[in-house]
Amino acid sequence: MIMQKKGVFVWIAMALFAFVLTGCGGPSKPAADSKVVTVTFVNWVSAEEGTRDKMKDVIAQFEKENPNIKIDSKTVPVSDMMKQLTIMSTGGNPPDVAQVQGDGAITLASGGFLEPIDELLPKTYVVPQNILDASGLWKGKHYAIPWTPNENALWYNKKLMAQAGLDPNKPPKTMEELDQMVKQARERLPQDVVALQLDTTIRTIGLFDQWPFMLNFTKGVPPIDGNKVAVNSEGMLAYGEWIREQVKQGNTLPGKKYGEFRTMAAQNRLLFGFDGSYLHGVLKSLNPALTDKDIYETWGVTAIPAGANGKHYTADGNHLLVIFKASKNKEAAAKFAEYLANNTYSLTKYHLTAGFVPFGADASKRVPQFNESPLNKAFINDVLPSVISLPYGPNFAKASEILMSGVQEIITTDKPVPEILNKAQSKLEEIYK
Amino acid sequence: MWGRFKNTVLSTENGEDNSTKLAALLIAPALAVMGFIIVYPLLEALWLSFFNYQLTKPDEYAFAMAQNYGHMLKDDVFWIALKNTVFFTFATVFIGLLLGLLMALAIDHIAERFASIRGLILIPWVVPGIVVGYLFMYMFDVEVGIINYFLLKANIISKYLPWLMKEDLSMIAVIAAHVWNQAPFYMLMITAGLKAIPDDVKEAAYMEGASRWEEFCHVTLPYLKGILVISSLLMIIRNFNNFPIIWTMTGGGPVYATTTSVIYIYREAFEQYNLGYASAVGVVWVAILLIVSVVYVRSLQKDF
Repeated sequence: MIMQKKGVFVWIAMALFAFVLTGCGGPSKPAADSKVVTVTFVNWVSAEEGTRDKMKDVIAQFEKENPNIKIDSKTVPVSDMMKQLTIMSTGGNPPDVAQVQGDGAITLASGGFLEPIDELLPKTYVVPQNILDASGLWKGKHYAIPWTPNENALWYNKKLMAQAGLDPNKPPKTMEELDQMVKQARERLPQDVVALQLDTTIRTIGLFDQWPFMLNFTKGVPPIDGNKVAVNSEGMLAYGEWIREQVKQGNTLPGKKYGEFRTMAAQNRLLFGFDGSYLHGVLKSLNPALTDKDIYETWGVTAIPAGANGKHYTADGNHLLVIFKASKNKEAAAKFAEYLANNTYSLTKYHLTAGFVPFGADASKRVPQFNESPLNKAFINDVLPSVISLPYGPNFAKASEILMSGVQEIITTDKPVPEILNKAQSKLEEIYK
Repeated sequence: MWGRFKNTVLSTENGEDNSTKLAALLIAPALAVMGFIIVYPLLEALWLSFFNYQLTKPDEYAFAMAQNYGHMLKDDVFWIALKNTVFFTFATVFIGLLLGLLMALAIDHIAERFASIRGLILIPWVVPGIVVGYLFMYMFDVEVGIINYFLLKANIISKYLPWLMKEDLSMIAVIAAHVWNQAPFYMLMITAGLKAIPDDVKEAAYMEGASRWEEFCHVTLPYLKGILVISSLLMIIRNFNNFPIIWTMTGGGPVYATTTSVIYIYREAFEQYNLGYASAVGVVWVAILLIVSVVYVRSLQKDF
């Protein structure tokens, strides 16, 4: 009996020893220097070759200027970002601050995972109201700190335009001009030149790409506006016929992600691109032989052609920074986010070199190099004022799937456009009822 | 100490050492852990399937009885996905099996000095799905795809086809990618089976005047029956779940032409955050897989 008891004690002692060794002895004590806080920053720019070193440099500088804040940068690929953040948030382990894109902020805000930034964001960062609202306004509060613009502009290839007998300094200003120029260019340019960079994938990015064209045909009336759905309107039918014609005529490649057209742009095989300001940097990374001078000589940037109402539109798809409700370091996280978006060091070392233009009202004055590039100037003056919001909200992903499936059905089948859009209309009415 | 533990804990009341009890006790911890990591998520998914649970609509979280299952019945995308899954699974398994059988028969008679070919043929099997997906995505590309190039050169097509953007062609493309990836697996299994057929049985058939085809039908094939059944059942289960190749090549499109159940569940859960409905679709999917698994396990126990 005594021997058995001794055995039990040995087992208990071993278990306790193992418990201590594995460090499961309860919550750890705070670090000796409790003034230093660590801000976890989940992002994809630290993973991508074109931005990795730039981001590392900016973070190092921030830590140098703010010795009481350490940044723990965790990289997640852009395609996995929302999935990872959702899993982390529902698992009770969200980061302090994260990089998201387009609908990301409102989707996370609608799930109750984010902290409003209205009070947190230092007043030194002044962002145009249309940008601030389009990116993160949810139920009367703002949840996103706009970091870098990601709106599409029209990138027109001046060399190919000249080759096609078009005036390289007169890009299309309206949809009619665009169609006319594409027709002329297709007759005169080699077969391997792709006329239009159009993303028709079933993705939220697909809708982001197509939204300005839809609005061009609907005279600016959004096909989805709040709970109002009008995807079978006359304007949308005209849009459907237009996109079908673009594929039928071989003006664009169906089902391609818009990033897949960039290789063609770098090879001088794309006539009209619809892409972000950072295409400049992407072209250089795809074709290292390209210099800034080459790019300025080849490419011009302006707003996406307007529809019948004469207004230019581009959909909001900004890179944003969000702060999580569960963060214990919200002040430090906000300080870091503001530094990334607005500090002169960050603007110079990240925005400028990666090909992004700034949002901050006074940024171009502080960093005059932004005005040296004609492409940047066009983005700031022509493109950013045309930003409009997408129907972000809890149903946005489903709505994108339905709408872009309809677009794919239009471009891959011969079914009548009204039949396809009526089907999409009833599906959307079901989710927005 | 072990002896004392064995005597006190594992012996039966009458002192008899019970090896069954010992075995049960030893595997109990592993079973408990596996039960937790396998059964718990299944039960959790079943539980969630009865809730209106969409992460982007936390205010609408509520017990919804069988609402998700009711919605599934009238959800045309669910039925399209299920139909695609069944077609895709059986097509890949049937073609893969046939190709694997032909390859195995071909290399079974290969000279010893060319034996390394067997290793080379196995390469597609070890290539990760995501790589296979990208490889075939570019091979079937409408602009630079090598498939279009060869078909055009051979005068089979008159212009490049948008393989991944035509409803009928896209399914062919994803099936081709899977067959390329999986045929070596069947070949490996069948080759092992061929090696197990006694030479004297074959020789006896030939001595009785059987042709090569008759020998194959009446000797080789019956010997391979067990392997064919088990390997195809295994691959039915695997392809029912297959995600990376289709997702990489087509993302389930065009429209819903290559959307299988697993892709539909992924979209509902991780793009639309509709966890309740995704769980309900998942439960139905698991139920179908369980039926196939039962058939598989029974086949394993059967003496072919």
